[in-house]
Amino acid sequence: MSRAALPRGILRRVKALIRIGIVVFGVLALISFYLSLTQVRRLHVEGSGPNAVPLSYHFSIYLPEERDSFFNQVVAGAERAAGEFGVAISIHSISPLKNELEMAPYTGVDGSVVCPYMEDAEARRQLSRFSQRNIPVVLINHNVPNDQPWPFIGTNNFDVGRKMAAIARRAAGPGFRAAIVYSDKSPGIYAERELVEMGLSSASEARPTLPLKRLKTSRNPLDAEEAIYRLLRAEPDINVIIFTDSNDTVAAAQVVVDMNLVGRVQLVGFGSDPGIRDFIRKGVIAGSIVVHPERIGYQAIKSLTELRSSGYTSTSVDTGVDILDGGSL
Amino acid sequence: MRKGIGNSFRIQMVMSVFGAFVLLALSTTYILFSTIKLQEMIDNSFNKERRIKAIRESLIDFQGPFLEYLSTRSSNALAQLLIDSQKLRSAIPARTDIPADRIELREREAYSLILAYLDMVDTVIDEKRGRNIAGYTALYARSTELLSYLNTEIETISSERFRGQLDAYGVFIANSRNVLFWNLLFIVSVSLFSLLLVLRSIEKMTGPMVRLSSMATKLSEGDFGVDDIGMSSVYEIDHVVEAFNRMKNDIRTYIDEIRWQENIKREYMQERMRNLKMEALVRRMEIYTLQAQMNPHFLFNTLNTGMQLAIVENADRTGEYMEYLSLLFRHNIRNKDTIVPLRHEIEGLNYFFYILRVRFPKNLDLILDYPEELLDSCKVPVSILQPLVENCVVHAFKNMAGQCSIIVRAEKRGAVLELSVADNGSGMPAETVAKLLHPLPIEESSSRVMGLENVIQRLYFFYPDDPEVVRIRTEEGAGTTILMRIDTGKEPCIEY
Repeated sequence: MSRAALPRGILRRVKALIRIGIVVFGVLALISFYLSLTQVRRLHVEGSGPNAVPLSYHFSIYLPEERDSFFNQVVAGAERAAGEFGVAISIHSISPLKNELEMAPYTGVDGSVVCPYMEDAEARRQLSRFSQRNIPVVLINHNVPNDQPWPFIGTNNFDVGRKMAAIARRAAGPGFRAAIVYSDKSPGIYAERELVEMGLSSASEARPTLPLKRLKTSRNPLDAEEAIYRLLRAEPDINVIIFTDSNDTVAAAQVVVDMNLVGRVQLVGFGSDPGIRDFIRKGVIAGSIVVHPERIGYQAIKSLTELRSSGYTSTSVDTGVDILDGGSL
Repeated sequence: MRKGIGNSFRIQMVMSVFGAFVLLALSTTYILFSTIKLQEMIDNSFNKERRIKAIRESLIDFQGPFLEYLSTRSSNALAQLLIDSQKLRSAIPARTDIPADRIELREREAYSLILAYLDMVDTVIDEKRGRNIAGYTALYARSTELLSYLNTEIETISSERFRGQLDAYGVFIANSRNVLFWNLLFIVSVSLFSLLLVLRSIEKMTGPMVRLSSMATKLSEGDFGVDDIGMSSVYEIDHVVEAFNRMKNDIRTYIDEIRWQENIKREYMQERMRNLKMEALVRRMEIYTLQAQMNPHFLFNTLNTGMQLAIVENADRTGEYMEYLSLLFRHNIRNKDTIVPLRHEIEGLNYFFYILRVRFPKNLDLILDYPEELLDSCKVPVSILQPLVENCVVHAFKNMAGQCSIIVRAEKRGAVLELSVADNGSGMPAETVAKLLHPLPIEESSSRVMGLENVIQRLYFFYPDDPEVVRIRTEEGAGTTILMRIDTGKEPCIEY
């Protein structure tokens, strides 16, 4: 081997390494540059970019302060509709303490969905202020009578009463003695209790033999337990109890089990919570009334969009009532 | 290579260094840009908060001139009020796109509430101007209620946004770390990339110099067969490389030429030496001939006398012998040519044979075998057969009792004339054969050359390219054959 051969061999290897290094680091630099740039761009777009789909309207929804599963499903339905129709929704409280409904006409929204759980006169005053500023309003869950009625989305409570009666008659026979438990947790039904009771009466082959016993629970979810205890002790001849709230239904079912009155006292529940379904399977609850809050929320936004775009929509949309019993499970 | 801007050494040096610098500068600029962008994003997330906070403070400040005007109807207060109102209106962003974010929607509502409040304030001022006390008092109460609600709403928006920002900040920090990591990888990769580019440029520029150095070492060791150095893309270096390659090739050409001249000189010297040897041989031959001529002149006279005496005394056989002897001497003396027809050699040999037959009438057989057509068509060096026969007679039959024979034969095989002189004598030692076929240089050999040796040396000189021109086949006690192979197609080398 000559003196020059070794350095030349090393030089050749060094040259090859330099070429490989140039390619490797060049590619690495390009990849890291691309990834960094993409990340910065993504952060920039996320931070300040416009909506992927431009939104056409801004609607507000006024609901009770305390949200149970019913109103959560109403909101879910509204959000689904908002996504579908390309509108934005903001959720507000209807509580008079917060004054949000009072200020609603000044918020510049394109329409409002209101669940008017208040005195009808107060509701009419508030809703009229919307009309004065040409803000379309859709009522849900509870209708407010007016000369120029606002579009209403919800269940027909007369129908609810009829379905309740159907379950009771099927479970306890035509001559049942019933008690109905209203609740602040379901103010819509309570507000239209006359309609419900009319439905109950109309569905009975004969009018109930005794006058209907009425109870009312507060927003406390455990309130129904004590009320049912007292009722069953005080009125041992009652063989059907009708509920208008899912929490009350579950609490009362446990009381009936505890008092060993299963079979003698038939329960007509409200809602389709898993607990209620479980009691229906076990035969503790004869059946349950199921309304569709998600459908109410969806339909409310749809009606508002129609009002904004065409100026017209249905005055009343019945979202329907179903019966959940052992046969339908 | 033509000199251009791009292939100049200086320009390439500057370009490689400047290129690496530009790459690093650009990548650093990008790092700076991305860092600033990240800072801007963080700053932007607080921009909205700053704006709504400023509006809220303006609203609070707005209450001063508003109340003052309602209390005093001061025109200054009214002017200030209008200015502040205008400022507030311009501070509120235009209602363009509807945001999807819940907090931004509330913010949008808050701006509408502010505008409604300002409209309400304008109405209050109008009522005040119209001196409708009940109207502006009621409206003022309502505006105060709205302002209170606005403050609460702005508080709510700020706190909710802060909560949202806390969550988003964690995600942002994680993403920022990713960006910083990629930036670090990017700057490291670009730095190494630039460094390697500079190294490659240096290697590209200095590579030919290294090869030049290696070539110079080889040239200094006398190896001019190395390949030319390849061209680079640098004009100045290529110029040097080209000059070096040319210099190497010129030196190699000169050396080849010198070697060629040396070869010519050596060949010339060899030729001259050969000619000198030839001259010496010829001179010796001449001396030998002169020596031989000394006696013939004396012998001619003597032989003529003897021949006359034999005629006088009627001794015919003696006279005939004398005549042949005389013919032989005359034959040897008369011809001065170097190359003679074969006939001349055969004639002389016939004379010589007659004499030998007379001398050795009983125990010597002499056979001369040749085709007649060869005698005039073939030429041979003069005096090559007789010395060989003479050599046989003198040396081959020493101490031999039986019948002796000498056979001289001429025949042609293709273009080669084969002359052989064979005896059945005692043979020749191998050393003698070797000495005869590989004679000493002329300056080392003795001046006295034997007949056989002289013939061999002359044949070698006349036919230098044919080492097989003479061969000796001999065996102890079985005789000797000297075979001469003369290529008649080649002219003998007779010039010197």
